[in-house]
Amino acid sequence: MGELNKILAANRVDDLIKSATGLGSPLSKLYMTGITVQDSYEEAKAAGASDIEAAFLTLGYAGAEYALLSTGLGEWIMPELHAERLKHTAVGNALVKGILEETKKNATSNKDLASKLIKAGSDIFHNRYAAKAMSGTKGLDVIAAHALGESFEEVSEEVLADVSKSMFNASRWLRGEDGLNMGQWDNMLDRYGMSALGGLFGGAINSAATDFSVARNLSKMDRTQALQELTYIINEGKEGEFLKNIEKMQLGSKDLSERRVLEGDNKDQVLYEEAKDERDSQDFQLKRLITS
Amino acid sequence: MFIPYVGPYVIAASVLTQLAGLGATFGKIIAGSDSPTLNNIQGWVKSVGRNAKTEYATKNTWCLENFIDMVGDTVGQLAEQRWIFKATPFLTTGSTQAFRAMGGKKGRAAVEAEILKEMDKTGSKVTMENVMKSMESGVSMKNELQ
Repeated sequence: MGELNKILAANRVDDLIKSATGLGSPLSKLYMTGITVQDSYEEAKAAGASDIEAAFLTLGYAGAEYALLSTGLGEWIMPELHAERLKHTAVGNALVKGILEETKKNATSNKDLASKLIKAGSDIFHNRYAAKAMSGTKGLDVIAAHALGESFEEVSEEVLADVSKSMFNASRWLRGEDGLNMGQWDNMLDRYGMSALGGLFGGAINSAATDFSVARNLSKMDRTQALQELTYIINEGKEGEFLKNIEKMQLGSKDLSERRVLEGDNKDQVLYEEAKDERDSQDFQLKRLITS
Repeated sequence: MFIPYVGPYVIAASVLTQLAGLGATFGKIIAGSDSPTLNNIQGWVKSVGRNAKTEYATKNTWCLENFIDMVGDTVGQLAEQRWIFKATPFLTTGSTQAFRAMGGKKGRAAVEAEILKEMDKTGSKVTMENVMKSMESGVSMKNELQ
């Protein structure tokens, strides 16, 4: 009972954080949007725009900036937003841990370098490093991912500012007026380069100095704990969300099937055949084990 | 900003300063750009803010001052963003539990212990007695439904 009560208390803290961050996330994004775009109002006014024109330019840029901050690039500083998905993923992994270890030991990946790089980029964009940061096992890979993500975000902000100003000038041109010089595209390589460098170092310092370890050590969850968590998930009526998160995650290899092939002189080397299609993959079969 | 105990106050002061500037810009968007009060607020925010630059830095993008500025700006803004994210529940509900729970492993463990104590007091802990009661009420509810 003691262990169950601990899990109950831990889950109540999760629920507390989840309900508390509902308002915190949009407010912090609005703040960041505000301080990023406020200069564009003065720049437009100084270039000769009317009050209404400057207001529309600022609001348009603000909308785009808010959208950018709502992606994984802007949300890495708030990994708690993904706490539930991370917990469901840890439960899924723990439920099939034994099979996973066995298949991973023998798995050979046929992914080329380009695919690996695309996957690394996707992991940064989709905030998948949040799981590591929150489990308290933050290493250099997480700090590097945060630094790269922040660097990309800072450059994206500069590009957004230039694009917004150009679109504003296009709207003036459509109304038969001359475009305004607000410094858009001026020294763009210098500005983008400095933003990339500043974001890289700033993101790294912030990632290293911030303690994100608010989750229980999810990476070390065993099968018993996973079953207890699962009981809580079902009790709270969150099984639909759990199944959705299991479907979204990658549990096993998508390239290999579960059919074994024995290789080597003594036929003691276990390998897996390539999957014919998605339904034939280890990933699909492992998910079916959990969801069925 | 990352110094224990002092950091949160530095961040809060910085957020309030930035909000004053934001309020002035937003005021100009609504009321027009001719207000001397709003101009004064913006001027004050610029004088104490992080964006003050020397003439040399304005003309030369690749200089140490701009690099330190850019890194400091990024670090400061991220710290402010996280502080707002964590502090909003305190500002709206007056409870510090969520703020402390998001402050790292120690903070979270303390809040979990508090919740366990509360569960003890309210009798909402999982005990054999509670489980039996819950099962009985489940059975009686089933009977009522039938």
